[in-house]
Amino acid sequence: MKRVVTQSLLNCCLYFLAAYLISAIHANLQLFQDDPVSGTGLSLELNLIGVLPVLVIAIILSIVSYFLREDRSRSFATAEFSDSDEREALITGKATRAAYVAFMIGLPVLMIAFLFEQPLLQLYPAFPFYAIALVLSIGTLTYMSAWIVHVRR
Amino acid sequence: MKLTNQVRLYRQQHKWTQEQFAERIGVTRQTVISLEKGSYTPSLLLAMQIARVFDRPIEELFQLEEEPR
Repeated sequence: MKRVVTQSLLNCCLYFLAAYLISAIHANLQLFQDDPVSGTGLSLELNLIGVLPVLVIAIILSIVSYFLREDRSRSFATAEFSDSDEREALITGKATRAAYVAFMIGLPVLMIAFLFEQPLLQLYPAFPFYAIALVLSIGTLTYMSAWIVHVRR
Repeated sequence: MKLTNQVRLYRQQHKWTQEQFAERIGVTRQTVISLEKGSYTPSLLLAMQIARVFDRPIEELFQLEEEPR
């Protein structure tokens, strides 16, 4: 159970770190299309003091996540999909179903939030990236909670 | 219908710990705990494996019981 909880929480951290990184890139990325001064291409300036620690944390979390895996030969077998015996495989199935339902509810709610895209983007320019990270985290946390509930039965 | 089992009784007769028994049938200790509590219904394959480990017929270890209405 510890493995599933740790991996799920690590995943949530990674979603938000990814949202932070991508929003930083988005805020600083400039695309030129036949610009009389800059020509055609792109320019990206990032503040390393802000981005580097996030990259280091993301790399450390990914390494921890890799060593939490039971079967490291399977690239997509992350530690939260624990199936060391038939009961765990059954619990994983039930938790996955709960996460799927959470996505089924979470994504339409996100779509409704996108109705207010313009004012939200003015207030929080990185809103779409964090909104996606939030929905992914809701799914992951639902998976984790369902796993805990079923494993304790 | 509810499946009850005598796994704890037979395991104790063999003087095996839950950990040792779990290793013999290839599951985790948590699964043995759930199995003995009756909160987990094993697959037919696991039930047959348990019967083989105890060298007893499967119906001696697992019984189908009517649930009170």
